[in-house]
Amino acid sequence: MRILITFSLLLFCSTMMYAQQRSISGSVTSASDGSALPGVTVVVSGTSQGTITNSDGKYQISIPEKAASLTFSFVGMEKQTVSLGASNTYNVELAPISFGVDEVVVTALGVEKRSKGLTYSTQQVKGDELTRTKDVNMINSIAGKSAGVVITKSSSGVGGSSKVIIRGNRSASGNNQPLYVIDGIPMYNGSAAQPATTIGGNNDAGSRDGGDGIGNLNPDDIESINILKGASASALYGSQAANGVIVITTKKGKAGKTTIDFNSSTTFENVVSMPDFQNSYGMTSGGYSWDSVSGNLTGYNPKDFFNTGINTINSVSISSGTDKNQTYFSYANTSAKGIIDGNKLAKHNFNFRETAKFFNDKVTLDGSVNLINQKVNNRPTPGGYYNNPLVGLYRFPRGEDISSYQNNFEVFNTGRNLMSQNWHKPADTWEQNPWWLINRTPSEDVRNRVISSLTAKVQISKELSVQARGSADFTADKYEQKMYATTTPAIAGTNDNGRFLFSDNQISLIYGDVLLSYSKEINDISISATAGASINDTKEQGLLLDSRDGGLEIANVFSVGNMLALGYLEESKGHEQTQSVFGTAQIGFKDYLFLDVTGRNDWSSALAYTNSMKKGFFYPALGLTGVISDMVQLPEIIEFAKVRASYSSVGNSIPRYISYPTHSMNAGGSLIFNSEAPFSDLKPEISSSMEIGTEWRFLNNQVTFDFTYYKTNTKNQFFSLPAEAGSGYSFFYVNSGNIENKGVEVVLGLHPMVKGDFQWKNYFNFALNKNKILELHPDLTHFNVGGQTSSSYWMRLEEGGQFGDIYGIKFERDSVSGDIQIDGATGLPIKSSEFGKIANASPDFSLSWNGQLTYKDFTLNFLLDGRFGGDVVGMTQSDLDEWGVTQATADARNKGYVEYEGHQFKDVKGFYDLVGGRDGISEYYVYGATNIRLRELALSYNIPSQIFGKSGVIKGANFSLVGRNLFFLYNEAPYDPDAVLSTGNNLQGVDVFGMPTTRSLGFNIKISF
Amino acid sequence: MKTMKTYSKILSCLLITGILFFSACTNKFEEYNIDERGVTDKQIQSDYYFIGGFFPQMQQMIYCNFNWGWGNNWTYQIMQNLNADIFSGYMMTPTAFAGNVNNTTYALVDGWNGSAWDYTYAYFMTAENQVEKITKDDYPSFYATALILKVAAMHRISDLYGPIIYTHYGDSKTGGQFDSQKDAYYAFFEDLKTAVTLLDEFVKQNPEAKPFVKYDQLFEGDYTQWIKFANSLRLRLAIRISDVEPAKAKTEAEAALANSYGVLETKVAQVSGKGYTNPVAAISNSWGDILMGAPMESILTGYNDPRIKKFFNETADPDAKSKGYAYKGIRQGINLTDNVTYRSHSSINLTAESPGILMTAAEVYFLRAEGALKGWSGMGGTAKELYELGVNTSFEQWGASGAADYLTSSNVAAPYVDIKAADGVNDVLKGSNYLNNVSPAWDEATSDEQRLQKIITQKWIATFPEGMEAWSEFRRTGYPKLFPVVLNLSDGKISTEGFVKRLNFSVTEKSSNEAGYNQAVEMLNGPDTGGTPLWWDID
Repeated sequence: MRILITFSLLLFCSTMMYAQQRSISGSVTSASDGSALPGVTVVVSGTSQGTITNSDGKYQISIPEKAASLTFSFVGMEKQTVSLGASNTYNVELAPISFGVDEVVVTALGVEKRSKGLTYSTQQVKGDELTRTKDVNMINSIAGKSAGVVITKSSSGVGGSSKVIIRGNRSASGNNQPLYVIDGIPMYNGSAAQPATTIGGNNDAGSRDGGDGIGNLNPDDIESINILKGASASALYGSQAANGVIVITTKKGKAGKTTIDFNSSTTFENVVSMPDFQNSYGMTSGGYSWDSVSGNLTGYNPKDFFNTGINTINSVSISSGTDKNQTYFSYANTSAKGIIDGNKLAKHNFNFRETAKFFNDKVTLDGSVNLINQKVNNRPTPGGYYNNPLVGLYRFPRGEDISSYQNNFEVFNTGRNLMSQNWHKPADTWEQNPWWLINRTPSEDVRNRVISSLTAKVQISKELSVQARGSADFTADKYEQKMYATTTPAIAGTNDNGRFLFSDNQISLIYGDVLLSYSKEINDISISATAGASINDTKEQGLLLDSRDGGLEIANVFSVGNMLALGYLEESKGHEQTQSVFGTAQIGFKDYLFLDVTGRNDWSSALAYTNSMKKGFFYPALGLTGVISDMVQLPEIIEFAKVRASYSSVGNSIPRYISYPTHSMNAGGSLIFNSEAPFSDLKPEISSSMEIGTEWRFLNNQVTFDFTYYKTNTKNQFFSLPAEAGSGYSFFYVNSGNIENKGVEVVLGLHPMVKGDFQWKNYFNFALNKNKILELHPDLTHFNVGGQTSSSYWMRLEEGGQFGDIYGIKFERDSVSGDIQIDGATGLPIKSSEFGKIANASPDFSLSWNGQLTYKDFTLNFLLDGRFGGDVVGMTQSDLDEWGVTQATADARNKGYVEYEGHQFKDVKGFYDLVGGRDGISEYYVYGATNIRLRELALSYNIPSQIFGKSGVIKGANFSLVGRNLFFLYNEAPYDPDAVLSTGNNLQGVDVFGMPTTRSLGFNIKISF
Repeated sequence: MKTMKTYSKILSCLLITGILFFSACTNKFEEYNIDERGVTDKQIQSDYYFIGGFFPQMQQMIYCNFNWGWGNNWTYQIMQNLNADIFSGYMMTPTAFAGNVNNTTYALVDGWNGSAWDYTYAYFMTAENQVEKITKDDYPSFYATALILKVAAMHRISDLYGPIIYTHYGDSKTGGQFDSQKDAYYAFFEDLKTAVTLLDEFVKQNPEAKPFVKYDQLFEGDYTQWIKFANSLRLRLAIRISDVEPAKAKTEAEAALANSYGVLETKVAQVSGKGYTNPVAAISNSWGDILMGAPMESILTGYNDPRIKKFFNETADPDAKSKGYAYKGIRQGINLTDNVTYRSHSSINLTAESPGILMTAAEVYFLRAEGALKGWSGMGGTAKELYELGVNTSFEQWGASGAADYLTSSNVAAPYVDIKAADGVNDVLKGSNYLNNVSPAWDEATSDEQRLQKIITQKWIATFPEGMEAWSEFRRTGYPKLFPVVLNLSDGKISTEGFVKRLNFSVTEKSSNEAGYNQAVEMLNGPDTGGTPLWWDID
């Protein structure tokens, strides 16, 4: 509040500064062709006082002596603000609003290309788009800002990971997430753990989201993000390129004055979507709420369990430099308190980057060090039953007093002389006291990470340069969880003394490459070519010690020494190396026709012991683009027109060690003999893709249009098949299958209005992806994505089906009429005995509207994001209906029946017993996933610089009110259908007591010194 | 500028060399691509590990609780606990799995019932086959032990499904070829015979040698015990086929007992140590997914059997206590509507340290008693003597006292009352045909059939908790009398009064080995359902 008052005072003061007048004049020209620009609006920044340029592009204006800057604006041109000094003449060049045509775009391997000559579609997101309404995991800020990029958040609270899918899922059992590249160098983005089942997992300690790599970065360090969506764009990355590449360019120091930016963002998070609970039918035996007599209950509201979360991100950066030397240093501090007690995140980011030129600017050195320390406490489970406080919380009998279990979640146990868990019924695998879980099963996740790189570039001649790069990305993760004695023995070990899990993992990714670049123009022909070689070496090592069933000797002593002999141990160790040579060349003709050729050969250590080890795999790409508007005369309204087409074939890395199976040791020294057949024909998955597209700009750049059609076929999918019982092996591997994705992406820009101080920009992103499983393997009728647990949910791939198909238990139906079958004896529907397809989790298309309204120093940004089609299965609803706590069950009891597909079922409890629960008729709980939300809203005010005076310490300041995920304009599901249980391939489109979605509201302050 | 040019020349050379170097430098890849956590064949030569290392897995896979990386207990739950342990009348689940549409109500769940097949072939037979290959020529003692374990494991699989892949296993050309159950049983007898011969030779040549001691989870490396176990298994299998092939049965049984080492008389063939934990302990006491079966309550409380407190924990259910029940079981196939109503009935009194029992000495006495009843020679006593030895041995095994009084008791099974169900739908009242109507005391005056019922009833009690054997013998003899399911959701595939006869074949076998599967169904002489009786199951 104090900040607001200060700013109001500053504003008030500013109006008192207009005393003396002075006269300024000059001319305004177009930066593209130097022509004079008539009709340009010239105003004193932050006021409405101004003029327009005459027919020769000249202006003259009388302004207050204290005015610090002038703002120039014109249709189709970027607004420009000029600081005023002693001079009275200011000539200004206005640049056309950039649509990236002549912009330099950072493509694969950090190779810079003019966007005009690109043969494929890319989409750029600027740094300020990421920092406008910050999310603790910065990749979430891209959601809705790039067509064809689908981002879903794990429902595991602050510090959770995100799933990014570009142009659909391609791989049945391999990775589907893109490669992240920072300043040309691949980054590690693995997740330490993801849920494996709808029940619970990670060896029964409860499903865990181990976070991801991209969420570690400081968004303020990012200059821009360029998304290489198609394989053609990412082909230079060969065997890692199948899922697209997210190219991150970080900030460098800038030559000139030293600037210090201070950025502070604070947001408050509140729960938005909760299940609908009833308050009229009370408890029955067993802790159900199936009372048949209606009353007016005053019970607790499960929403009260959640707090207001607070996220604070403070960052400061210093940029300074000369022509020879530039320095950038930043520090960011993120501190977040989740909506569940005890869940918090603390993150520190240090970034140092130095760029220097030597030997007559022939040699450039660019080095950076990025230090990250992150600690997350009590990360909530993204879903499942095990150790999930929401289960007990939501199921708690309506109308009963929960406060005694909240205040006394533990009670003294005289028999054992310790505090033991207290809940209204015996705690078991599925349900425990929520407050016990948040207080007595604490976990801590610590990550220390260093990303450092060094690049040396030598400009040998005007045409030729050579560059060498090396980087190390080192991550050390420590995870600990303590479960106190009397945590249900099914989870904490039968000796009932508690459980201790400790894991320590290190991952290092070492990367090095050399690039030789050549560019030359001979008459109408331009050539630019890059050739190089790279080496990528990944090593992992980790140890998990878990007392599990073995238990602890002394209750509540959490140390490795206190673990009993039968504890569980998991050792991870891995080494993989890929070596590559590659080359890419672009030949341009008359600067309107460009041909791109790319080739890369990868040798991967994972292919050792196969026939392909020596020759590796070759990945080619070819692209062609023509700028029609430069070739032929087009009607005047068309500013620019371009068509492009490309084809490529890239890979998806293969699992290591498959070609050389070994026996393995279990904890405690039991040898498990190998039961997998060796796979010497192993090949990487291969994605062949073609894309065609076109770009248009009309009416002085007021309308821009970009259209892409693509088709990707991913073959050689890696499947593990059960071997015949008599073969001597349990499993064998095959390469087979064909998964197709095709779709269109449209990006439409509308800049309908620039009128004086008012400017309005809009971007629309539309993307449609159609996925189809064309082929699996002749012996594979379907492929199970993850195992089927005792829930009525299973993700499966079947020929002719699509990725994201969900199988579940259905109603038995008449084969002719399709009408649901009713059991004569019970009067209830009949449950199918086998799993059938009930839903598909993938959206049909997405549409987002990114708008920006600027008036003087005020800017309003909004992002409306819609996903259309697809389904989700609400296992939370299913479970809660069985317990009789939901409003749906109360409504049915009030009416005296449940109505479904025209049938009335009078036995309400019987009906919900049948359809509800984790293993009921999941078909009944399929909801449409279509939703439209106001994802971002930001109102910002640029405090006019004259307030701070010409020689003031503060050079600029901005204050904004921001909101994320504010509300749904439309939502078919009873919760946020975009939250996911796992960011892996499995468990899509299902919610099992996941953390409720939050709305965040807050403010940002940015001050430059 | 000259230096600059030289510099760039050097760099270009470096670059080109670099590229060449990279492409030629894959020779370390083979080293990189070996999982360092893994164990290669070279590393397991010492202490015969390359042979012995397979044995813990094989031994623990029989009464399955081997962790091959996916955890344990749940494997046992679906491989045996949710079928044989329930169908034998020993246990019952209070959990309404899949809305109570599951094995307990005769709606056989493929996802569970294929697992005994799938996992035994994936984790037992793969290992056993390797051992056979390694040991057949050079290490006869290991080879013999593997054969005994193979029969111990695979007769259980055959008794679940019928035809199995046995004699052609591991033969890659005909890997999927089934044996009829008869052929499989004949092969079992042969394998046991071979094993006994080989071990006999080995023991005679190397009286002190115990090369197997490090890996033995049954008999501490004592080969004479292994021979006794093999002979006992042979007797068990002979009795099993005594209805369908009485002559063969007699020959095998008499041969088994004629062997100079004899059969198990005190020792119990049970798996323990080396990481083995009893799965039933966790499933019953931690998960609460398996509790006492109603027939157990009826027979043990009716007989006032002191072993009841060794087998089960007293019920914690207040309703049961207030009605005076110390132990309460659950009837199979009742209409379970939730997971909590029966949750506090008697749980199984086993701990993780309890061994996994494969065969008890008591069982062997009962087998001999039945042989004597059939008039086979060399059984070592009269039916009465052997029957009473069986009871005594079982009491001893469980540390129970009062066997002498028990053997004079004329108690019969108690009626069963389901205290949770309305209007007595699940009750088995006094006078009901389903109540086991024989008493512990032997009575020479009764019919052979009644004496058989006594033998089998006592064997049923003595075999607890090994539901697989108990269910097989129930199917063969119809004893002890069990309670039929209340709800039969098998769509007419399984008869309520006839009880479930087998499990249907694994779905994976059906999809991945179609020819073999069709052949197997043909051998079954009936549809692949739970209602088709096995070869030895004739009435």
